[in-house]
Amino acid sequence: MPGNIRNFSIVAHIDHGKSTIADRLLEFTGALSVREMTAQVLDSMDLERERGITIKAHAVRLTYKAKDGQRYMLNLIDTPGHVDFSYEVSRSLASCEGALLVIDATQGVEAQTIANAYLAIENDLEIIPVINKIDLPQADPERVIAQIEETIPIDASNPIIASAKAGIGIEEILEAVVSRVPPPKGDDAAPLKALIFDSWFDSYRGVVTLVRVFDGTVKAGMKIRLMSVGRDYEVSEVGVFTPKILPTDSLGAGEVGYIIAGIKNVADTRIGDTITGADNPAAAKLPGYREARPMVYCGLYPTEHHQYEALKASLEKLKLNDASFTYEPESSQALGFGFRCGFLGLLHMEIIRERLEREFGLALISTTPTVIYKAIDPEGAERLIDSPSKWDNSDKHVQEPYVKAVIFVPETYLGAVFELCRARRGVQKEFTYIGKDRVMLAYELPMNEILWDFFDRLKSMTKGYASLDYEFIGYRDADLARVDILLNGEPVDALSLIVPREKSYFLARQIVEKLRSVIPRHLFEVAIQAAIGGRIIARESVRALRKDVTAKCYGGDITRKRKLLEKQREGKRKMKQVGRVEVPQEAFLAVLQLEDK
Amino acid sequence: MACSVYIHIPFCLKKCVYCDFVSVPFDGVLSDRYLAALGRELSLSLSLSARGKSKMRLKTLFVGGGTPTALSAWQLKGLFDSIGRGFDFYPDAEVTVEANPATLDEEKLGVLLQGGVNRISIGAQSFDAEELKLLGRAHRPGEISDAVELCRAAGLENIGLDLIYGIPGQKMQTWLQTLKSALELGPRHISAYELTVEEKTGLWDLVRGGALEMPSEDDVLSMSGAAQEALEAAGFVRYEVSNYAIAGFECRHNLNYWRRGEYLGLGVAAHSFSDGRRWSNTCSVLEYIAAIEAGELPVAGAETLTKDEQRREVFLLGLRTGEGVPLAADGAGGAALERAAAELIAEGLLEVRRGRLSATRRGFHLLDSVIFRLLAGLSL
Repeated sequence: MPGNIRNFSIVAHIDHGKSTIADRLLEFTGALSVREMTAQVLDSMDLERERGITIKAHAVRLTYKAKDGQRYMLNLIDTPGHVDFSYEVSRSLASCEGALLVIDATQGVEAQTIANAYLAIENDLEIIPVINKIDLPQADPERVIAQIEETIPIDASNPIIASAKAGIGIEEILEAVVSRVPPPKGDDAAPLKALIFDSWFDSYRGVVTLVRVFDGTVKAGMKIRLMSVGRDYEVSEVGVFTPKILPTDSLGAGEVGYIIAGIKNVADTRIGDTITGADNPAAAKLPGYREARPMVYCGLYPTEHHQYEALKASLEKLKLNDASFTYEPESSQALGFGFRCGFLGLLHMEIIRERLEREFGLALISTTPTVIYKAIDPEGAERLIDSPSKWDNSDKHVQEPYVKAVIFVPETYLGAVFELCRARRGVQKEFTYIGKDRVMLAYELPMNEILWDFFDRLKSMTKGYASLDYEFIGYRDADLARVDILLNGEPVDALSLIVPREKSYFLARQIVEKLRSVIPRHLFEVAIQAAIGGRIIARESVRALRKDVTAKCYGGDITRKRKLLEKQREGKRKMKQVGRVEVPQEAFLAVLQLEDK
Repeated sequence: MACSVYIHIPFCLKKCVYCDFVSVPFDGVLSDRYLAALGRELSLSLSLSARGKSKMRLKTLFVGGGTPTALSAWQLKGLFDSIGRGFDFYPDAEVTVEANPATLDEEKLGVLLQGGVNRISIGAQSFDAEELKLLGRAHRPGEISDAVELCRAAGLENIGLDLIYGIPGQKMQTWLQTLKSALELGPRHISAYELTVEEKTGLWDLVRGGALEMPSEDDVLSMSGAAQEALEAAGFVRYEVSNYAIAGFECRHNLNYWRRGEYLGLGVAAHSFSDGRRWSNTCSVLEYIAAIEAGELPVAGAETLTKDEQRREVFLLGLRTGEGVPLAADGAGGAALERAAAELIAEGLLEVRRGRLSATRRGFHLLDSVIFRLLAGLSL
């Protein structure tokens, strides 16, 4: 059978139509009837659909009768669509032999197009360019083909011209998958080697693990071993998604499907790990495994401390389904008891926070996100700093993480992008024209500069035309300082920030101004100060409230007045009392809204 | 059972720029239909309240608007005839009508007095021609004193004047002049309202668009303080945030709202409160008429208050008054209330006098925050 299997995934820049193409493939092959199709079936989480991006990987088995008269088993592996999840993407791609590289015919090649294409190339995949949205009047496939050839070392002479929306080119895509993607190789009789590319916790079944079998066969009743964790489990069920769950007798070499094996903790099924047979283990793991390590940290605190236990329970629950985020108890003088949480990136952080608030009904304060700094002592020992509270002004040798950022931008906006990158301490490494009016830039930037509103700024100054992708490239020496914020003379630890020393005065001034605009007026004056090591470097104050009274209250409409009070109370619930000062959530993220110049 | 009734007359000669009450331009035909509907609502409500043929006896009646005196004398007569059919009054009942200066005449006054009116509240607002123009008022300063004299001549002595401060461009001097002019007319009651920019008003658009600038907080505070000084010097007592009266001439109808007494509201957008339930009529004149003509009550919204909501209201309303709330207002003894209020008392925002908790002068300026904190202290 492996001769008739094709494993492929779809990669694309955001909004280029990946999910819609996946939907059409499901529809065309009859995996789902038109009636069953809700738009973008594979994006199952509400949040995914709202944000228009895929967060979790999915694998669907399609049965396709090709023009050569044979039936093929096509495994479509949908990949996460955000740079935060690029490791997951790479493992999904490692499970395939081919990839559809979807490019919007009106937008052309973008930063994530390139990043994804290179991930596919690294994994040795056959890449089939698909030029989507051909039905739009501005579609310019010739230009897109030229762009692909200029930027990606693949043969773009034979792309598929498609419109998922209009249903154009869908059969051609399926034919190309059959004829151009090589069938998987592998030996059913060899010791089992299956690659985990996703897993989640199902409250009925326990952990469901998605795998690609490279060698051997896995079936119910078999004892398996997760090689990196070194734990053994007994398989209770294997199967595939069509996309409905469908148990099968076994999964053989080359196949993609799920394994359920009484695993309680999703953290045990690490993405990229290899599953083998406990009785007849493989000699070596599949290559490419690494531990997903959080890159971004922030504090999460309940606005009302009685929700601490609820927050803890919610984090535990989320962790069941997402091994890539971490949390540990932390306490703040200002915010009380909470958790220091680590995330793959900013989007990941937002998603977790939003789920905590939405699914678990918590009101949270999150502190300014921070990267992990390193302090190196004279003996060379490293100390990781994932929170401003762990900063020590006496540290002499400090390093910060850097990324390489690839930015695609129309020539018209080059000036703005240069300025932004310069303000963010970026160093230009590449400058390449793509066609005659677009430029691909590569910059090396401190990662914390990307955290603080870089992408939104980039988008707004280029009217949405710039695209961005980045990857971590290592640690470099840095000259940093911690800016502390004091309200009425009391330091508020949760507002402390680590900033580049050269920008500290400028940023401190902006932060106090911003805080002045978001901290509500109180019955007393609120003094806001910024300090480095006890020395005040900026100050502002919020004038005392002198008048706050509803002038008219007659005509009997008491309901309205009471509703106003209740609304006000709801607003208060979202604030944190720090000493006598009510501080709104925006204050803790004030740094994300600072100007660059 | 409610002993207070409010009747809303939603017609005005023209809409004032700051007004967010339910009012429409006066129209002879529409107002006739409206008054007919009002008469039917009155009898409908009374029959539903199981009173049958016996009249409801009132301690206060307030006919407000809009501009009740925008109606013709004939229409006012019809209105008070309906009132007389449905209600009778305690001997000391307070019967108020709101009036705008340019709409009063001898004939209308005669009808009102005949109908039992013994108190009139005149929308003077300002004695400065420019300010009146800016507010979109239909009258000139001179017409205010004409109106007051008309009332006096008709034998109506219980006269109240409404004034507004914090008008864009208003100077302390013109405000002091307005207060002086008002006092010279010898009213028994003065309401001094700070101009509030309400959404969906012409003023809102003008301020948002930058065409008008509201006076600074400091200026508004000074004007509020000046009002209190001038009025107290003239023998008035501040008995509510925005209301001053010679002792014994407080508006009992409004006091009833703040003391959480029951009341029945009739007419478009009118609110009612009875048996722990608050409800209100539709805000649309046409919907109101249509509902009544179909024999239905025009109720648009209703809620039954929870225990906590009732407790919140006690403070929300009671602390607006000079008398404040009894310490026992929130349950036995008042120890819990005093504890919750301790910090606010220490800050000079609330005070305890003769077993009642009330706002200080500074507390009145900050009343919304004060109530908010007090309720938080009571876990409300």
